[in-house]
Amino acid sequence: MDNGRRKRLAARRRHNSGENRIVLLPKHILFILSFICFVIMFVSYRFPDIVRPLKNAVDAVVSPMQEGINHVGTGIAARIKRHESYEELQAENAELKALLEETTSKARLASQDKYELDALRKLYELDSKYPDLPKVAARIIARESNGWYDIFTVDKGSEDGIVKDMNVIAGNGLVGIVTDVRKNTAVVKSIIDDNSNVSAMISSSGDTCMVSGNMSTLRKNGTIEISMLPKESKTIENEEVVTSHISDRYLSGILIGYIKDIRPDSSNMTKEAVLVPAVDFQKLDEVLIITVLKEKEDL
Amino acid sequence: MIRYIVYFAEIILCYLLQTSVFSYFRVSGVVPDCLLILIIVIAYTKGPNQAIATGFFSGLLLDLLFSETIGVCALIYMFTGFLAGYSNRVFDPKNIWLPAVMIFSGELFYSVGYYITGFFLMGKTSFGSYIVNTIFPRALYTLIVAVFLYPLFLLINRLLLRSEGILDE
Repeated sequence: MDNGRRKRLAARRRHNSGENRIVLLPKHILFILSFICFVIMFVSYRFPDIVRPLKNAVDAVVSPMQEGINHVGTGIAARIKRHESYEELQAENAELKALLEETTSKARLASQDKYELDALRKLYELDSKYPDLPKVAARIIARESNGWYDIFTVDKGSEDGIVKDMNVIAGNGLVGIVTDVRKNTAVVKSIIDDNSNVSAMISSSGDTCMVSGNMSTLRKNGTIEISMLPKESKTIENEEVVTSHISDRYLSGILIGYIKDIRPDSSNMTKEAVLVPAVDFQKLDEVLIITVLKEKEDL
Repeated sequence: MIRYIVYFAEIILCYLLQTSVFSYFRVSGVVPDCLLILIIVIAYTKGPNQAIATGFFSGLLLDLLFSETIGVCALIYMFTGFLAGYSNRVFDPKNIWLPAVMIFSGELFYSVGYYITGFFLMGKTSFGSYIVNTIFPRALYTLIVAVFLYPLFLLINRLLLRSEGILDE
């Protein structure tokens, strides 16, 4: 007890006088840690396998907490949505019932376990469009969206057979691709991410093009970009854009969205356009991971 | 020692708020940057050293869980903490405007830093639209959330000081 008091007094004296301390200036610490950062950046970029155990360890600690919060969060969000739709209802009485039904079904969706989710998935006919491909249902547990990158974590990982480059869909459309796999979670980069480029084609004509993510136009107009469409292409508005067979990572024929605003690009060599994604990225809760990889030999 | 355990818990809390809780409450597609609020509070109350460390570890956590290249967020958060840390010299628990300004400008600094690193990594959003559509909404949202988080972190800091036997006047 005496000892603790002495310690406290010493701490107070040190605090007041500022003497008797190892002098490590903030800029030194900053310099050392910056150096460490650059080393980590280099190592993780060149040798991703070295940092994998560390990623797995951090993930194992954090993802159960995220899943817990996710559970509560979905419930609260559903409740707030219900409240909002109630207010709208007072103005538009007829619409209200449908909205309430939708929100309650969302709330129900949130609290049900995987088996029930599977049943609901059938209900929503998520499976109907690509029935021949084996899929795993996964739930989004965290999302990093700083307006530029749009990356999320799902609750299925290598133990569920997920590997890098598997395609991710929701509803009838392409969501993104698995970029990193941990033991029980996987990281998905969505097609709206600014760094995402998907080789695509117009489903009716087979004209190839490139679909590139763009978070700012997505937020403003709900669209992302299409480029490299052949100049002589006779594509008209609202045609389906699907993943192309020449892509080496995306399975061919998955719906990405609908083309709009076709115009010649600045070089006048090809055409550019915008794409309305088939998936509503704002309301993404669950996704389906297609558990087959595009065979590279098919190229 | 207790202080560092508490810092660790605070980082985890902010991380969970940022990536899990607030992703349900997005406003124009952005989530508030809770980790930044924590870094600024620590910078303001305890000075640059601890802010740098907090920035480093919280950035590392984000990087480890989301990106393939680890260290980018850590670097930017660290510099934010370093710069904000100098405000500790004029620390006054009653002054709420300085932390508010710092959180807002800290978020701008972080986003611009992110833009620059992303630019080298290949991005195509123009800077103008990035400012209007992302940086400002995010900074504002962060500021609004800070109204609630800032007093909490300040209180935790006071309790920590008391447990360490050092009471700031």
